[in-house]
Parts: sequence; C-alpha cells; structure tokens
Amino acid sequence: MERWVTVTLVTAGYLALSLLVGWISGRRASDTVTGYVAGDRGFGLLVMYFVTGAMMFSAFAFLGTPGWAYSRGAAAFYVFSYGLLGFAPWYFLGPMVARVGRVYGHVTQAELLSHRFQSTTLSVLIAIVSIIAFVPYIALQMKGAGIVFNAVTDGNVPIWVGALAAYAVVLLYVLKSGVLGVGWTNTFQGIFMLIIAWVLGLWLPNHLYGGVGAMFERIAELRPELLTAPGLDANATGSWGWGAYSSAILVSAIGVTMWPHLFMKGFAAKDDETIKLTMVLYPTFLLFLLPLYFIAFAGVLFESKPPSADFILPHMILSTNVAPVVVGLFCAGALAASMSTGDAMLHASASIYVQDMHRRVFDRKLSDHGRRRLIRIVAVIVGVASYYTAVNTEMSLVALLLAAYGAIVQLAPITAAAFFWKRATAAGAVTGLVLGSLVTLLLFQFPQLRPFGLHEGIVGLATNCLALVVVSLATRPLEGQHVDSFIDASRSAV
Amino acid sequence: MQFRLVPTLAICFYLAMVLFVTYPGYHPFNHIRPFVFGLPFSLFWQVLWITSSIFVLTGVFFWEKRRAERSAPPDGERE
Repeated sequence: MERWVTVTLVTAGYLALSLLVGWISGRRASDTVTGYVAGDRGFGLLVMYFVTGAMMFSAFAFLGTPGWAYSRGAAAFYVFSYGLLGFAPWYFLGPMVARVGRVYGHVTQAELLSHRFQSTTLSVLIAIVSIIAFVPYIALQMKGAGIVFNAVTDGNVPIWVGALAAYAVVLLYVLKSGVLGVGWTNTFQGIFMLIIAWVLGLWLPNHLYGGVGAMFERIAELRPELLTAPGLDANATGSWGWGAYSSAILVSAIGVTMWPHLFMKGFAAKDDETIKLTMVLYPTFLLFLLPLYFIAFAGVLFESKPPSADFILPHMILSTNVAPVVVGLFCAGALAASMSTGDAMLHASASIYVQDMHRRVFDRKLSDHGRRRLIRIVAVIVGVASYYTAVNTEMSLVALLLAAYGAIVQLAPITAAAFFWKRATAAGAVTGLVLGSLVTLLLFQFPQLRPFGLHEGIVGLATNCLALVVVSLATRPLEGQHVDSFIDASRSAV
Repeated sequence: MQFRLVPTLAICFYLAMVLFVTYPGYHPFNHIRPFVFGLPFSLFWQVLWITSSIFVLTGVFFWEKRRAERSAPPDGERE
C-alpha cells in the first residue's frame, strides 16, 4: 500500500474514535444551559487537566513553536515561561471565579464581570472582543489541521478536505455533547498527543545523533547562538532584543490568565480542589513542549530543509523513513492538537454570543431551552464562518488575532478590580477597557510610537489602570451591599 | 484578609520567576554549559522553574487542606 493511503487510514481511524468519544460523552449532561456550557459544574481532575492542557497545545504549539525553536533557537524558550506564569495565577483566581459562579449561576467570564459592575455595556464589549479573537483563532486551527494532513499525505489530501474532515467531527460532537464532548475528547486527544510527542521526541535525536545530549553538543559546537536566550529575531539574522523577549513573556502570561475559555472551564469544575490540583499538575503538561523542541533542534543540523520553518516537524518525520503507521499517528497527534483547542473555542464563542450578547440586547426573555438551541445554531455559523476564512484568506489573520488578543489582555485590570477593589465602578471598567484596547491597537499599527520600545500591551495596560482608577473615583460608587455580597461569595468556601 | 504565610511565599516564588526568566535575572544562568540531563543550561533553567512549580503548589495545596481541617469544626470558622 502506498504510504499516503496508510497515513490517511490511520488518521481516519483517529477521527472516528474522537467522534465516538465525543458523541457518547454528552449523554450524562442535563438538558440545560448549565449542562451544555458548564457541564453541570461536574468536571473532575482528569478532564480538567486535559482541558486546561489542550488550551495551551494548539496547532500553533505543535507546528509554530517548534518552528521558532528551529529557526530562532532559544527565542522559543519564552513559551515555557509564559505558559507557566499565565496559568499559575489561576490556582488562586480560579477557585474565586468558580465560587462566584456557583452562587450566582454564571457560566461565562462576561457574565461574572458584568454582574459585578452591573453593566450590560461591559458584557457586550467583552462578548465582541472574545468573538473577534476566536474566529481567526479557530480558522488558524483549521488551517493547521489541513496543512499537516496535506503534508503527510504527499499532497494527496487537499488542505480544504483535511480541514473539513477534522472540523466536521468537531462540530458534530460539540453540537451533540456541548462542553462534555469537548472535555472527554480533549482527554482522549491529550493522552494521544503526549504519547506521540514524547516517543518521537526522544527517538528522533537518538536515531540521528545518538541522544539528546549528543545532539545539543553538536549544536553547541556549530550553532551556539541558538542555545542562549533571547535567541534570534524574526528573520533569524540578528539577535532578538531582551526587551522584546521579556515583555513578550509578561504580556502573553497576562493574556493567558484572562482567556475567556479558561474562565468558562473554571465554572465547569466540580469543586475548588479540582481547579487547584489541575494547576499543581499543569506543569507536567507544559513539559510536553520539550520533546517537540527536541525534534525541531534535530532539524537544525539535518541535511535537508523544510519549505518553511513551520513545517519542521512534518519534515523531520517524513525524511527519516519512519513506518507509514507512525507518520499517520503523528498526523493524528497534530490534528488532536488543533481540534482540542478549536473545539473549546467554537463552543465558547457560541456560548458567549448567546449568554452575553444576544439575550442581553436582542431577546431578554429567551428561555433556557431557546438559549441552548440558539447556542447550537450559532456554533454552526461560527464553524462555517471560520472554515470560510480558513480556506479563503491568505494570512492577515494573524494581525486580526493579535489585535483582538491585545484587547483580551486588557481584561486583567478589570478582573483584579472586580475581586480586590470595591470602589471600582462600571464607568471606570468600560473606560479602562476601551482606552487600553485603543492604545494597544494604535501602538500595534504604529510601532514607532512605542515609548522605549515596550510591548504595546504593556503601555495599554498602564493606560487602562490609570483610566480605571481615575474614572472609578470620579463616578458614583456601586451599591455597597451588592459589591460586598459579590466579594463574600468569592472568598467563602462552599 | 489576614496574612497567610505559605500562599504569600508561593506568590513570591512566581514573582522571583518573572525576574529570573526575563532580563536581567536570566542573564547569569543563560549559558550553554554545563549540560544538565543532556540539556544546555539555559534550557535546563526553564525546565527547573517549571518542575519547581509542581512542588511549590503541592505545598500550598496541602497547607490549605490542613488549615481548612483545623479551622472547620461544626460551627464554621474560628479565626
């Protein structure tokens, strides 16, 4: 049998298993919005661990970061740092969010924040920002899936077919099983990814250079500039700046902590202990980048070069003559990385649209049943829109994505104020969010305006904090009793 | 909120991490040699912080658990 046929069969087998797991896992959910969006707040440790890990391990982690390690060396180490610094605060913040959610019945981040500040404007703003960030992100995940499929089948499966196959499966289990489908498929996909990555990551350097240590010894001799931070710049010509390296870590870490889908999984946790233990164990998942970096570094001294740095993983797998079944498993692993991130975002963006925008603005009386139906319809629309974007646009998506994430980072001061500063008001929160996002966007477009070459997000955050404090102090405080009961709910263990 | 030593120490660990994985704290450890477990020291340094985090949060977790057990007799919180 030709290699690409075997690869396609193995990958199809993986897709069928994913669908099966996703399809049957939704049976236990109650027929309510809380059941569909937050899994009846019943996620245990195993599922939470893999759901959280999957957020970090997108198609970008599977292809993009090894691409960085390959072309820019130690610049890629920054992912380790922000990966940990972004999730660690969740050990403390997560249980507070979950407690408030249990008391007031929240299932999304915007619900929590707009409840604290009593502001529909805030809810709608957060919803818009989240959805603008999610659609290009999902599109990139789809594209990633299609590209890998295409590469490992020697071009026999077109990109649009690969993306369609993977995301048809995702859409089916998201529609059928909601967050439970996302949770249990992520568990299956996560185990799969971890095994594939570690086995290939340790085997390949061993096969080519006689071990990981021996491989790094050779790189240290021939390309030492790749092994010390901050690594090389985007063109892989000069050194990356320390300022850029350091502020990229800070901004990315804050952005990760504020991810809307991370909040939503906090609401899905069974209890505080589950969230805390997930964060205790999370670094074991983060180390999964290590074998991927090994494969990428193995490519540095390899005789042939991939068409672009992002292709380093498939390139290494394909050029070392491994068995076609292993190539198929690798392809399935890459699809797992893409799908386990894409499914959570698809589910989150539909839920956010209905919970935080539609029922707040267009239809205030929408029933629980009506909302569930609408979430499913919107999930299909978002899926189709993302697919259309993935197949029809040539990049520029990244710019949109970065801009929207710039705005999500700006949720950090508001969230901190929600829990720790009683005097903060809705006007302050909205002004801070809008001004912070605008400043970020402006400096993103005109980099020459950045003071001291700082990351645009840092300047935006400073503006945001200032506006939040000044406007809050200048406006009438919220009713004391409301704020007190919110903060009490966040602190008292239930 | 009263002062709680163990969580405060954990937060200090992460603040220290911010310093030691960015400029200038990373600088003294940002070398290729010595190799540790086959990794260049700069990469081992990253792995070290990530692994330490497991122990730090495990500590906090059990400290909180013990504290909750001690201060949760039938009529709720004492402090």
